[in-house]
Amino acid sequence: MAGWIALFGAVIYLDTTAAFQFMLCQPIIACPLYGMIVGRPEIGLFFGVTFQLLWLRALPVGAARFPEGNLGALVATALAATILPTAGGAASLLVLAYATFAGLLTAGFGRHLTATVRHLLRHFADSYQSALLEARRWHARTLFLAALFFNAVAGALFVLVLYFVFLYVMRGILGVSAQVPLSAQNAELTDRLWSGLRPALLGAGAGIVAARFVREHTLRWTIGGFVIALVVFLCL
Amino acid sequence: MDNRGLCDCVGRVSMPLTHLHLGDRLHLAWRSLFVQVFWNYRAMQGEGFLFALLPFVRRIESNAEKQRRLLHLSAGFMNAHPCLTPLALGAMLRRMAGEQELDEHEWQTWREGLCGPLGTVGDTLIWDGLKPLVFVLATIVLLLFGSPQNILLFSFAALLLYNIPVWGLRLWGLKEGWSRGREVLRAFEKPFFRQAKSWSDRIGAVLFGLLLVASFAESTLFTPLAIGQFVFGCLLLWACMAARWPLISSLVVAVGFVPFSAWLAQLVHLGGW
Repeated sequence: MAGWIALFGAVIYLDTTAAFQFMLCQPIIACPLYGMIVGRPEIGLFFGVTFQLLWLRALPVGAARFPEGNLGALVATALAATILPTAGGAASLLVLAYATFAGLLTAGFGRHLTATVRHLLRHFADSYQSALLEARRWHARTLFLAALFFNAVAGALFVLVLYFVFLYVMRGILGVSAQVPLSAQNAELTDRLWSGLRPALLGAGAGIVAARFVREHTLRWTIGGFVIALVVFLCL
Repeated sequence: MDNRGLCDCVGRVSMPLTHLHLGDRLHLAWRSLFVQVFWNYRAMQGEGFLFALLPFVRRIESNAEKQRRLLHLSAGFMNAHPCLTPLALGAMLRRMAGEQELDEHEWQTWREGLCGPLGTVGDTLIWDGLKPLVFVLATIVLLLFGSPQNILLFSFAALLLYNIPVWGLRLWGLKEGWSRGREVLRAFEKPFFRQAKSWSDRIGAVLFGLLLVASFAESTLFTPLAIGQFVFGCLLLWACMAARWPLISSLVVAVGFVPFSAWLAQLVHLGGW
């Protein structure tokens, strides 16, 4: 499990800003894929869909610090997949809620990760430029691979550390795991309290989409889309 | 690093390129995927541009000293949207490979002048246009039809839907950059770039309408409590985004409200419990 988390963390971090940017890093791609690999596709689907919309306005533009929402979604998926022994088990919504908070906090900490990595990359960049100007080709090539590897390791270590911290906090303090289940009565209560987690996350995502696209001049387009979708939905 | 005094002007290269073959374009497009590997707060993508242009500089100039000067010109401050870096790379290569003489001061001014337009156009077109559109659409499709059995198929389709236009833009950028050289920014005079924002806004607005219906089509949204939680989350985040409040704090409040609202619903005997 830890190996997969590290691999996904490395690929997601590279794909977010450092290289490729094929968008494999997006929660809707990475979370279901991780879920499939660890045998919990429904958890990947849950976090892929709910977390995707949350980071639509967090743009990796220039020197701006942005929340690492993609890594946050991975940590949330990995935590939930580890802690929940079976689909639909007792206290599963509490675990999903905990994983959601962990994902949000991971994204928040990620703002500092990228800034730190970029400060450190300056040393690689200076050495790379010097190596090329002094015609030390092998040195330059090694430095390029080292910088690529440095980015990947930063992503992998970051998700691994936060994954284990949140995992042990969950197990140690809250006492919720496959080994230490809640009593049936408490589990039912927590599930009832957190039954609105998915609607709330979807609503928050919809609010972020609205903030980006809905304006006075586009309102009729929104109403048009809503009416058409409603008619199609009711007909089906 | 300080390179002052290294060069003022670079004369015509010894092996000028007159044509950029498909293989060259693909090679440059591939290397442009790595322009952000060295991203740092001093030169931003500067060393990434150096990496991308390196094999071409070696090809057009065999003299070691002139090659060094061209490499020095390739580095330095640079920042652009990653999908539009091929546009800048094509233009830089054209100027290096074809011009009689490159004045270092003029080159740096021209190069830094590219940063603003390439960043703004790319951010508007891709980060704030294509990317949200594709992934909101993918979310809608997964909300309506997603299941553990077909999710990889839909994810792969979303990747294609994003990457096909992006690669089209990259290859178009290389062609335009190479053909326009110094006047590369004139490529943005095409009507497409003026209209793209308003069209992405309209399509996004339609998608928001679809998203609302798709969310309510979810079986989890059939109780009054769930509808209330959805609406609260939506309005809260909308207001927070409009007021430019920190995203993470707003999300934590939205999620934290869930058990509180369930408790309130129990007090007033609302459905959903």
